[in-house]
Amino acid sequence: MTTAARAPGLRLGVSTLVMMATLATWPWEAAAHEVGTTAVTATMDGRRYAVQVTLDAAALVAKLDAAAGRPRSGPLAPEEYRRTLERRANEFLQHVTVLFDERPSAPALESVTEVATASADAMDDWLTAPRVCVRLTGDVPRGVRTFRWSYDLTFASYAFIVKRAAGPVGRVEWLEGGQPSSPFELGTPTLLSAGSVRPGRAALWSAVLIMALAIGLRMLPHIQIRLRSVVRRCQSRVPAAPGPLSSRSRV
Amino acid sequence: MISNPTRLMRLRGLLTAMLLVAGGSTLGAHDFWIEPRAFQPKPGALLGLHLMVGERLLGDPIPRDTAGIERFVVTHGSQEQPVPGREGGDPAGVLRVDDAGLLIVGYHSRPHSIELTADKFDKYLGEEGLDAVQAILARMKKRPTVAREQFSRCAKSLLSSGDTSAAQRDRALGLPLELIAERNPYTSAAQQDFPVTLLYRGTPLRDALVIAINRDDPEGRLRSRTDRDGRVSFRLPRGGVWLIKAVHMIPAEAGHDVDWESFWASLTFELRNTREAAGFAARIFRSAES
Repeated sequence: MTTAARAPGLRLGVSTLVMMATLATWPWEAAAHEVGTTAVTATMDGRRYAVQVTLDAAALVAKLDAAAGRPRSGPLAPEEYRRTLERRANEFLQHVTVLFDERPSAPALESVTEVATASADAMDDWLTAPRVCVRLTGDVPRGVRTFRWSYDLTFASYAFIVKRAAGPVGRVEWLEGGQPSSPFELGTPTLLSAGSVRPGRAALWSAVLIMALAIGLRMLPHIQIRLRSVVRRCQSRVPAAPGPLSSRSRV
Repeated sequence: MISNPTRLMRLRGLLTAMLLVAGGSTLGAHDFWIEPRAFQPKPGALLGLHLMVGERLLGDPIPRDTAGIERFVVTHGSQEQPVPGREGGDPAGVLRVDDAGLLIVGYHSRPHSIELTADKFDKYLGEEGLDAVQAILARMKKRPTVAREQFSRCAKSLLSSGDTSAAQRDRALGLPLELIAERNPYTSAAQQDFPVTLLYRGTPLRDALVIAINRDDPEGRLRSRTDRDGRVSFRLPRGGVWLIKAVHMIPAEAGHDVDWESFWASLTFELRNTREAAGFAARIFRSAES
């Protein structure tokens, strides 16, 4: 293998190490702002993932207006908030980051639904805050190990829950706007699988070595047994000498 | 030049991750204010009061957390009442507007603790005009790498229901840091002088930076420092919803777990666009009186 061929893999490895060290030593603030009403739940379901962002519709529309340089929208009816956010799906997606093994993945906005208010006061427009649930979905690339999330359209702390569809209650983390979640382990990846993440030559050789080692360890007891039987067979061809073992070993 | 798509993808991934890391710690100086669903509700209406955290009058609602509330009250005339609300609910407060007139809503939070890196702390001291703290830090031989701060929110909002008069004015509610409008905004209008007094523990606070922000033009903010009487006067250029804010910071007392203690005052109200509108309101009030 030439130096030029090794360089990208080496650089990626070094960069990953540097990034991990940076993340580990980054001086995150120990405490945070007030907790807001935004909540995010990410569900990993095999090859698919879904992220549900539940938030205040009026606040989100106002932030999207400001980000796009539009005049601020006035109060809207709940269904009008939903339609407005569906129209501005691409704007919303610009403020969301999904990473698999630190590589960006682009989710699609699947739906925007109004969240019913449980309060008895829900009939009064001046009392209730319109809330929506924005559902994003996408494919989990093959062979990836970690998932991370970030959302930058909030000024308050929010709860981020990540879980497996079939598993128990997932991990909860408090995040600030723009702060990436810590990596969520997706489980053991399939070695040498084909897909969007292609393993490099170094990874292939590592996999071959690991497999050879595993096979070797697996076969070692059988080899030992086989060797013993061969030794015994060889010994059986030698005429047996009377006397104790020590005298036999001298033969 | 990067021609290999795989390498390009890797580089993009690395850059995105680094940007996430770099942009992640966005904790800084966020404002806090009271935002009623309507600043001029009708008498008899039920009204939601949102507690908001954010910047440039763009923010996120904060649900009601009784454990974090020191005081949440509304005054009408000489009467003061606590603002009720559903625990964990948004809006954090619910108000029944019984009578016409000026309503003053006040909120004082229990202190929150925060730790900021030195560069972020410096940036926010500059933004909020906290020159006295910067001077203390400049005199230090060796600065700590992390600033440990305890902050509390002192928010007020002025609402008007039905007819109101210039005689009905804002007044001190006794918040640690408090902005007091010297004129009733609902009988004032844009392009008129709008004086405000800043009190710290009931005493005028001088040389404090006071900032006024309009919801429809948040970039065109007005800034002025208080005089020896704690006063500052703005000529608010347009009508609409206004946020006036100020921050005061002092070194924490010895024996505390923090280095600094800060107080965040805010005052929200709605201003009419023209003098004619304000004059019309005053005429209605006078005719109702006669």
